[in-house]
Amino acid sequence: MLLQRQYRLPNCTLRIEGLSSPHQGGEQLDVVTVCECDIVGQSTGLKGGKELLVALLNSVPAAAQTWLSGVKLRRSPQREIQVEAQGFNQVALRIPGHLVDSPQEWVELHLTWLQLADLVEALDQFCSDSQTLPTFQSLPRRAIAPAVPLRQQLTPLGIGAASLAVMAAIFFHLPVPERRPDEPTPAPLQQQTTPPSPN
Amino acid sequence: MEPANSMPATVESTQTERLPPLLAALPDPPGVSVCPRRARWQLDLLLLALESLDLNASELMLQVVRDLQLQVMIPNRVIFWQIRCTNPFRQVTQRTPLPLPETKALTAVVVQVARRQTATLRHLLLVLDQLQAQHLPPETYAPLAEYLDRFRRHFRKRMNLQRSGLFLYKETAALNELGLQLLVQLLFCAGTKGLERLWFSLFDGEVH
Repeated sequence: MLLQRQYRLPNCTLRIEGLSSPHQGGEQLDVVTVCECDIVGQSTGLKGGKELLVALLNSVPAAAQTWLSGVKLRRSPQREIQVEAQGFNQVALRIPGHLVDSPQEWVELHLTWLQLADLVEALDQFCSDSQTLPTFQSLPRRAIAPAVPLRQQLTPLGIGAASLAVMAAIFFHLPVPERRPDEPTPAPLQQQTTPPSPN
Repeated sequence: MEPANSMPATVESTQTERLPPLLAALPDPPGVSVCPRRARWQLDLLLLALESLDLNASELMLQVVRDLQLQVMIPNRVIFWQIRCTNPFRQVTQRTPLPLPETKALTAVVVQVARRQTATLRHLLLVLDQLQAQHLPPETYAPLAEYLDRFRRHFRKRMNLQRSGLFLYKETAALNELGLQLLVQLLFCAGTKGLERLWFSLFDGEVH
């Protein structure tokens, strides 16, 4: 039986078509055949199959999570769809052409954060609807670039070592101070004795 | 349960089994026993942005605590303030660790209040798009200007700008940009899976 689900947000409409097996009562979407995503303000919509849906689910919510945490990754994640922030309110979505039946190698969409939030919300609603949660997990420490770059961390160390070397070179050329002989101490003054009072 | 008028000296941990089902569903991250430093800063910032967005947000947060039955973790506004003061960049900061149950409670408050502000958030971001398309500054639109003004005042009043990590925010432009970024982050929190997304993002880079 053919099933169609639609998730309509102000800036994004996600439409999923698929087949359900008759044994499940005809309600459960078992096989996804078509995935369509229309974003308001974009001239071309995205249309593909299950591969497009899986690629969207793998990349877009993960990118939203990374942006929410504000961390910078050491290297960009190897996902089929690349999500890249360009400036404050610009996000580029680079989709391989074969996922959307396009002759071009890459299809690139420029979204605002509001449009991306609606796309994420549509995907979340789809996942909640089909009783399969997207796989959330926190990023490991090794995936995160250090907050202070290594060069910046090493700068104070380098300056310290260089100044130590310079000062050592200066002090090396200074003569070793000679020890002065002890000056003879003056003889203690003789104490005047008071004459006895004539009594 | 602690009486409402008492004030403990430190933020004490709550037993996991006493958590409401909403929070019990959030898994503890592996290898992390207390809330990391970046997460405390992030949660406090999101709450600060919500307060700047709505004048009644402080009361709304306490109402949400009652609605979600989180009084076990946050019995009163003093404890709520103490929990927020675990943010290391505050002027009045607490050096006590923030246990995970209290972190979950704070996360739930952020998400729930953000959901109630969804219409405002969407409206402001839509206007921001239009202003940027016309190359106009955000302050051109009065509600955005009010939000940014309140955010700057709250931030400068409560955060310790002498900390090296906050030197950047002595400039108004940097603070404005942070305020606008927080609007987008709050919108991501307000979605269907916003609670899970925010919770997992708090531990990005902290798990092994």
